[in-house]
Amino acid sequence: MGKSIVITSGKGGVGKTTTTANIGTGLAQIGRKVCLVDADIGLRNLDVVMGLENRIVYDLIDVVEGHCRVRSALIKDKRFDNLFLLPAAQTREKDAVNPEQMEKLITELKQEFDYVLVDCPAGIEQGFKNAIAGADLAIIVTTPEVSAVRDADRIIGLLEADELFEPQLIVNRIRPDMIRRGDMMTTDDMIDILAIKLLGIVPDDESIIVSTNKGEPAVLDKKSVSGQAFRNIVRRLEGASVPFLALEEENMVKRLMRFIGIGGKS
Amino acid sequence: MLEWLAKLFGTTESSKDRAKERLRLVLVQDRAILSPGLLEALKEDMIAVLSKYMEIDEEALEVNLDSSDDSVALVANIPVRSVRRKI
Amino acid sequence: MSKEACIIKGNKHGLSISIPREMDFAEVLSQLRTRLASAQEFFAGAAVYVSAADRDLEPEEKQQLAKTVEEFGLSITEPEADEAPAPAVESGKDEFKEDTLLLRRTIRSGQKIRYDGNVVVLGDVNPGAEIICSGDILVLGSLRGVAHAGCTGNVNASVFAFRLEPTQLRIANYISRSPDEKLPKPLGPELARVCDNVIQITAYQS
Repeated sequence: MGKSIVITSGKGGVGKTTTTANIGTGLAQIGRKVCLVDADIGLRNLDVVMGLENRIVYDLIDVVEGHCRVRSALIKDKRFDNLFLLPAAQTREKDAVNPEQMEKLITELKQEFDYVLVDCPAGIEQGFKNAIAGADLAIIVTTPEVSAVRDADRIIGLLEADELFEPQLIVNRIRPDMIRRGDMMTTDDMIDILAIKLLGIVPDDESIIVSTNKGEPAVLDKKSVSGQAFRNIVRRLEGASVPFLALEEENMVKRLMRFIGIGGKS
Repeated sequence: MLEWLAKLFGTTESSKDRAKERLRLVLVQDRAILSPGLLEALKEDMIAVLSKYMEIDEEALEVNLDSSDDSVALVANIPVRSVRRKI
Repeated sequence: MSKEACIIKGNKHGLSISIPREMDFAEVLSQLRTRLASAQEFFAGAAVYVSAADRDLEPEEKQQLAKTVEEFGLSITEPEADEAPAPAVESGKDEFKEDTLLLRRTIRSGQKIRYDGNVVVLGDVNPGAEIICSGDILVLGSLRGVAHAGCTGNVNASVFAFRLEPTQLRIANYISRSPDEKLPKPLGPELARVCDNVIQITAYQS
């Protein structure tokens, strides 16, 4: 029996889909059998990020409505034989499926896969309720912005109300230079406020945009910093203890300035 | 020039501190709003504790979370009927 | 190769493997392997149906078939009548109406046009949009979404576009998708139709 993880955020545009694609691909890379489920009915994107958009024949709605079996809707990844995608329907709406149907589907997938990763839509309405149904664990993605952290807090509350406890946090789009200048909240600041476990920090990285353009998750790019961050997250999910990327280190000048007593707090 | 000096000596508040402070406040409000039953429960607990020391007018008791620009305060208006004699 | 061959066809239910009556079973397996290997990615995840053209397969042969198919991450499914095909409007109908739907707009992501007859679009069909009809599809613009012509089984249906760059093309029971590697952009109008059991795209000449 595998484990189902929902990747959620509340706020849109913080990187849920990219995170789902990268964690999924990363887990597949180390040999786990992974199924990615796009729960964003009507606004599907995971297929494009994975570069699998031209293979879709059936989708999640076809499965829950009984038009086809799960197996015929699953799309095998180009790169890994043990990675599959269940795409969302593009021409339907969120209420075409309900939490009970989703829970049944996820439970079925868990029989066959080590990991079932569900990409949750933004918002806290029906789509969110569908996506968290059947999840064993929740990963919350946020960015170091007041609005995103506030929404993350709201989501944590809603997850608790749904008896999904101990979510883990990924802070995305960290800008070390801005942190050094004191113009961006640090992960410590956010953990301090949200009081949940930190799963990973992902730096803001141009290679993410390039990899999305190509439909190749950055986790496969050995040279990408964010790819490294996602590989670390994958190892932590697997139970390994991996130190967090040292993104917030002071540079030499700043350190020197602090040493001689100017530059104030860092 | 003064600003520059202030910056150099680190006396100005950085924008991330502003962010954190604003976030802290907004979350206190959010979380309070999130649970409508919270104030009721708090009221009952307060009555229980206060009743040990004085007789209060439970009907007229008012408890509110009051938020202004830079702080959130719990404001309680508790009319006292009589104070119990110390034994 | 002999005239008789093991044929793999994609249809609305998945993949169907037809096994000729007279063929040696070892030869069937080896042909199947070569064919599946040549397009493994494309077949991935599809349901597989075996039709053995009046030939009674021994249980052992069935097992061997299942094993071969499994090597490619597929599994054999017994044909099921109630498994309704999603892309088709109505199946088992050869004739189609000659009515034509004219759309004077761009069809955008999330929009799905279903029509019993021909569809003409005076605009583009964007990625994420779908056009499904029983007749021909003509796009006087760019076709970048999914197009399914002849969805009720008309193999003579065709898809025409000024710029034919679809995510996926389906004609009757045939499916083809755009290749993963980048292709040079089509320079002019192109026409897709079924020839020799595959969807072929040719430059359009008036």
